[in-house]
Amino acid sequence: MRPADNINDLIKKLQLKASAALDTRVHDKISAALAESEKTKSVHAEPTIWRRTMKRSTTRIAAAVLMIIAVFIGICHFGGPDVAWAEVAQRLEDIKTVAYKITADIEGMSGGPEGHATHITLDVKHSYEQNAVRVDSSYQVPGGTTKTHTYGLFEDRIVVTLIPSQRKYSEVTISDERMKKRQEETGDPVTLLNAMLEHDYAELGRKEINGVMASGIEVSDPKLSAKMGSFISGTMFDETIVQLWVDEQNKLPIRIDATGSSHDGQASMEVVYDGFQWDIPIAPALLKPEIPNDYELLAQGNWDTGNEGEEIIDVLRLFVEFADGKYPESLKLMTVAKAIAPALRKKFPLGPPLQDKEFLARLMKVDMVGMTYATLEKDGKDPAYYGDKVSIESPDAVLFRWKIDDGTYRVVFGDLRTEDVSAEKLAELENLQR
Amino acid sequence: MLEDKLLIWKFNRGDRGALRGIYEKYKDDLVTLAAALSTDVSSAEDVVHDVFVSFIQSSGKFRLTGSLKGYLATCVANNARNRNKSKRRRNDAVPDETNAAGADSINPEFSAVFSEELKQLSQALGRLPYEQREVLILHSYSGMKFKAIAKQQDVSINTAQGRYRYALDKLRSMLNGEARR
Repeated sequence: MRPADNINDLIKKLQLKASAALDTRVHDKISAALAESEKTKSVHAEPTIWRRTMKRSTTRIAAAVLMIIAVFIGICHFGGPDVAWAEVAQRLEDIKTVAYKITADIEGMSGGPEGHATHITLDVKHSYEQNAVRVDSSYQVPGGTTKTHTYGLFEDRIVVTLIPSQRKYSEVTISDERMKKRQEETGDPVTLLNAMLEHDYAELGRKEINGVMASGIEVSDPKLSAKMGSFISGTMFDETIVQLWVDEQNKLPIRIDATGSSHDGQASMEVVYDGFQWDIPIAPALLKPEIPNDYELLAQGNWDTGNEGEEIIDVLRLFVEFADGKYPESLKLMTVAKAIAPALRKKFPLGPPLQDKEFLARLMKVDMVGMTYATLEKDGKDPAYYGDKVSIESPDAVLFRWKIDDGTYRVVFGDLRTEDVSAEKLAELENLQR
Repeated sequence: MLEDKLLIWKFNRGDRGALRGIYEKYKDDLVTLAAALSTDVSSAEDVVHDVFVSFIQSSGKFRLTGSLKGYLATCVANNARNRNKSKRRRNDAVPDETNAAGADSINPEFSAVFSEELKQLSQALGRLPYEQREVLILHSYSGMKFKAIAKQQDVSINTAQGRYRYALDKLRSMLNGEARR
């Protein structure tokens, strides 16, 4: 007689392997179902996607607008070693409002005085319920402080920035298409956590922060930054390191520390996000701008999609007009801003021509250049930029290129001439300058 | 467990990699479970295929309350049970005791991959009444509790435990060569 245990042991030894045919069938179904799901979402779930996109994008877009006034900083990352990641993500998904404070010290910021750090504080109030965000900013440099109030109005697809000291305001409208495209790189906590989980991170262990036990991780993977949009320093600086600390009890972020630097070491920043308050009541009136009648429209911009490459060419054109055709080494925001700022100061010693709306709109494109390039990467347009070795003095060298369709690239040469060429021809051109 | 939660979290966001990860992680166990229940590899693979097709469709709204493995095992058991019922109906109510889904109908490839001892076991399993075989496999192979199995079979826990004991006794008899006497 076999004892029951022996039979149970035998049963546990039963083990078959799924056949290759089953693998193929299931994988095909997965591909088909997800493709169908994407199609269905785009056709039927437009309002939902739109709503989610708008919800998740405002803070970052607000950040982009602020850059024209000074320079805006932003970094977010989420995770933690002793924290159940899925729980953190789930908690964040359910969040309806959040308020937090960002403090940043930036050295080498364009427009800032030499040898001095610019101290920035941002009070952010974000309501997912109301699809709106408000950022109250203070830019402190030796000799003065500039305060601005930025409102991201999701439903109206507009971002408004008020500058009380100058009695001026600016507006940026964002196209539906642009908002959709940025869904995966919006910089919101859930998207960031998702992106972070896909990359390598180092566990920082546990530590007490303001009497709360927290778990932390660190990410410095450069690939991460491309997915994170402009609110993340990845599109501002060449190198960034981000540490995230999560409260072990409530499974929500408690503090974020970040550092960023440009390749040449001339620009750097240190940023802290803290003072998180989750699900606090935010009065609707707080999130709606009241523009006094005597405020003058400083600049008006439009953030659209599909013409990212041309937008970058517009930015590069500034370098031909004002910087003798010496292009920035990279298309990271801080590198571009730092490269163009001395030339602009020389050209406009009394300050930017605030009356020239068209010119200010062009400057807004500088604010967004890092994001714009990241969008080309994300969309699989295979962009490449060679500003580190090409200037207007090498008019036939490839300065910048991106794919405009399957077999064709648009090439921008050193003199900003453009030409559409085949992939083979592009390879020849790029080989010549290696 | 945490990894499963992560996979589900990503799965609900339409992450194709997560879905493939779930399939790769559990496919062999599920095929084995389905084969042990249906005693037929090709039917077993159909069961697993159908389960994953349904699972895929739950993307975006799936909520995991227990273990993912347990959930998938339950789905496999339900699907296999439905197929067994259909088969019985097609066979025009052949008494379950004599249906002997195992010995004669067992797919050769199912037996071929096992050692002689396991081959005898798989053949003996095929001779058990379906409900008894199901309790035994779900409890012994998938580690499911009698309470959960009873709920699935819509019987009392005592009945489920009784079926388990009957199954063990019969298997023991068959494996000792007593069943045919």
